[in-house]
Amino acid sequence: MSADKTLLSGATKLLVLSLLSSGDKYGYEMIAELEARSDQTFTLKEGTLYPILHGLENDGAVKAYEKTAPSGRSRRYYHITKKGLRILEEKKQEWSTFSEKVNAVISGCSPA
Amino acid sequence: MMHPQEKYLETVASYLHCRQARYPVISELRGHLMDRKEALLSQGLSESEAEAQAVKAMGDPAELGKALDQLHRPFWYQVVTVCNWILALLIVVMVLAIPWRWVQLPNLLLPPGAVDVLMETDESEVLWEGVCREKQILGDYTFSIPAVALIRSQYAPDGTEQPTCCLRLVLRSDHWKAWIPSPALRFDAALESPAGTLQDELWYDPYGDSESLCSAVCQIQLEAEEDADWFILTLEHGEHVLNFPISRKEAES
Repeated sequence: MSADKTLLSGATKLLVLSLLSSGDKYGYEMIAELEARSDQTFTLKEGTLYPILHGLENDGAVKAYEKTAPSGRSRRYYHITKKGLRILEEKKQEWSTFSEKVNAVISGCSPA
Repeated sequence: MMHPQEKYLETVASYLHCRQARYPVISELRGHLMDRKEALLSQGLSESEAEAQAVKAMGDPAELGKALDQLHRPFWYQVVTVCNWILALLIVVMVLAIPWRWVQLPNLLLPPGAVDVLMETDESEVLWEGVCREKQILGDYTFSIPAVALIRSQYAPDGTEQPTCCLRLVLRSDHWKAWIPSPALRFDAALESPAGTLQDELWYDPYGDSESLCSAVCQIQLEAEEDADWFILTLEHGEHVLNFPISRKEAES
């Protein structure tokens, strides 16, 4: 099943914060985990991740730090802050309310 | 030939105004591209295929660059941007607030018709008028003559009550900046009629401070036939000669 990309665009921040809530990650790691968790359904343009991450960092929802991998490559990891966790809860609530309303509408419109 | 990943990153970097942000942002993106490429190589793709797909998966570099640029403006850039807008607004307000009618800019836009010499004269007294667009050299200065008028006057130049005709020239020196109105010089001479020959000494003050008064002897000659609608005014200074027609004002109406 291929999901409508427009459904995904509104929930990207929620997805990113949710991924970080389970542990610090770097950019590509988030893309890979998103693909794995969604069984390849969600495959957003990878470049769109970084404006979101940097925007969250500017807002104080995440903090970034450099960490050198065993291979010697330096990666930029992101850590969700307390503010980020609050925003995540708000976004979860928004999403829950949104999906309830959508379900209410579509369940009330089932064909005869 | 540039590596496709480096070409991608160079495009993104070109949109980042903040120099300090370029290195860390591009490094992060480069790391991402390398991680994606390694993942694709492990899936069995060739080196070139993996690089191409990794770049494609990142999306439009211009869009990414612009989006990142918006997030990485340094504080001073924002301050400068705000200051520029304030400065532009102040300039607009100042320009609109200047009482332009007090500025002698209309001197620069003198239409043919001796507006400047007419400022002190009843227009009905102007008998003949003209304009000369050629330059006239007087002494060390080059002038244009935007207005010439022959004016009927109740008084002679010495103040005695005697009907005369006076020739008035408006001279504009080329040594003035375009936006600074130059002084207008009036040259009055008692004339009984436009015909005949007139000679006199012409004094001019190009700086308007009367301290650097210069003079040059300028021969002025008027030649007209009786009842003619125009005559030739000749200004002669050394080897410089300037002729131009002066038209009768009544004939134009």
